[in-house]
Amino acid sequence: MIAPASPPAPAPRTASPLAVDVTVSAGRFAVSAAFVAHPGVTLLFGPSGAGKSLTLATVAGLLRPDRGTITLHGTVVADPGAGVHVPTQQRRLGMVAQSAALLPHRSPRDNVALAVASGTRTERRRRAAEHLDAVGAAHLASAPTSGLSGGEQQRVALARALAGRPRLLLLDEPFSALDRPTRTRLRALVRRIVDDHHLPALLVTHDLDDAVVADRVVRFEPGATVGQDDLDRSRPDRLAHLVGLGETWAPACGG
Amino acid sequence: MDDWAPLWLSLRVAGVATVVAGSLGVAFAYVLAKGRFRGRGLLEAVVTLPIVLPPTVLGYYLLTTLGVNSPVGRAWERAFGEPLVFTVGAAVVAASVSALPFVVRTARAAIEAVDPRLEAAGRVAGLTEWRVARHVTLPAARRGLAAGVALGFARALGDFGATVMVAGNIPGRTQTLPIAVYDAVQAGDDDTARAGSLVLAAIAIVVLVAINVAARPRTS
Repeated sequence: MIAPASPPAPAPRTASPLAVDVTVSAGRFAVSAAFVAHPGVTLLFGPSGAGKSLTLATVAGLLRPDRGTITLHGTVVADPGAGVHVPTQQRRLGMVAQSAALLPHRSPRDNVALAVASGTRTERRRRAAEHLDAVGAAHLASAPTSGLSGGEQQRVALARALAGRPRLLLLDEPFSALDRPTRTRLRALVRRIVDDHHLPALLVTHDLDDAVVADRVVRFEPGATVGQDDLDRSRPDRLAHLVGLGETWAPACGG
Repeated sequence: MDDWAPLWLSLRVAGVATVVAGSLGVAFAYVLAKGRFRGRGLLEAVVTLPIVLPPTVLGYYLLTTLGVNSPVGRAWERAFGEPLVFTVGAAVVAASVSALPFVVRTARAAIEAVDPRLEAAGRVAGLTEWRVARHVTLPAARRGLAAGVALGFARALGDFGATVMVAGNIPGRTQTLPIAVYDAVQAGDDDTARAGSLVLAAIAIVVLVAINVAARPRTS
């Protein structure tokens, strides 16, 4: 069902895995974001420079908000008013950004193994191999990391994101540097991972095509969230209509 | 040159000093690059001081800090049975202190140049700050760290002023190659001066060329 655009009021906190209501600034730019996320893919959609990535970095704990709260699975992880800032490491997140940010001096398997929280070296590497297998990158385990293609890097980054047993996936334009067929395959992979693990995922994007894997959208205008709506994956044009681009959107070929 | 003892002594002193200045220097560099604390500017100034101070002044301060009447000097003498000053140990201290700022400045620049997205990815993946430093930042900066340590070695090998102040000029015990060159010039022994200078210049050139080659971006 498609809910009407609602004002950015925080929903019941105990019910949703993630509730965000913050203002965060970087230099002279500030963004106010208020939304909730449930298991499934929630798009953070809006033009470049709207503050979507800034919001994501704040959820990750890489930035501290000026005001407001972030609640993750019932725990307040950021509340400057109360002096609360749970370090990034303890938030149990998985992140994939536009640049995969793999360590070039370690093999793909070691990159993933570093994110495995516990176990002996051998166990970690075994777990890493399993995670690589789950994203269709088992054959890349020992490949030279700097020689991977963009799509291969993002698969390894996804495996690394899953290796820490995350409670929330943060995806910051992970498909934007990929060619269209690779993008389509990776979108489907992300969707499968989210479903298999029953994970909430935030997907920062300005690509209308990402609606084909999304359950909800948080719409950004420069400096603020302006609404949150449910989406229907079988009606991916819904997003285009919501943001007033209904005429320009056509389904991606083979997407 | 007939007597190569000063060269071997210099290499030994510089080798140990490189280990000391290398480990201390990388630690200082990391703290200066990442730390946000009061007194950081002062710490940076103190660590840089050996570059700007006259080596004799540096040597004088070391002498007063480590001498037999200083607390450090007395503690050393109690522990090891002989004073630190005018021994090869003092030469190592002088060379380490002289080399330290070169390691710190080069290593710090390398650490600050590491892509912050790599470190952020490590933190999100759950790595503690210590593991981020060990597995992400320092390995990613390794070529700059190596360049700093190599530069430190070259500087330690060439130290004259501070070494002669705290370790003296005892042939066979604390007479390093730069000091032997000075002695030879004073004594009008041109052959020894020329040979010693040539060896020191050659080693310095080899180290500097190696640093430049290592710093060149690799083509893959």
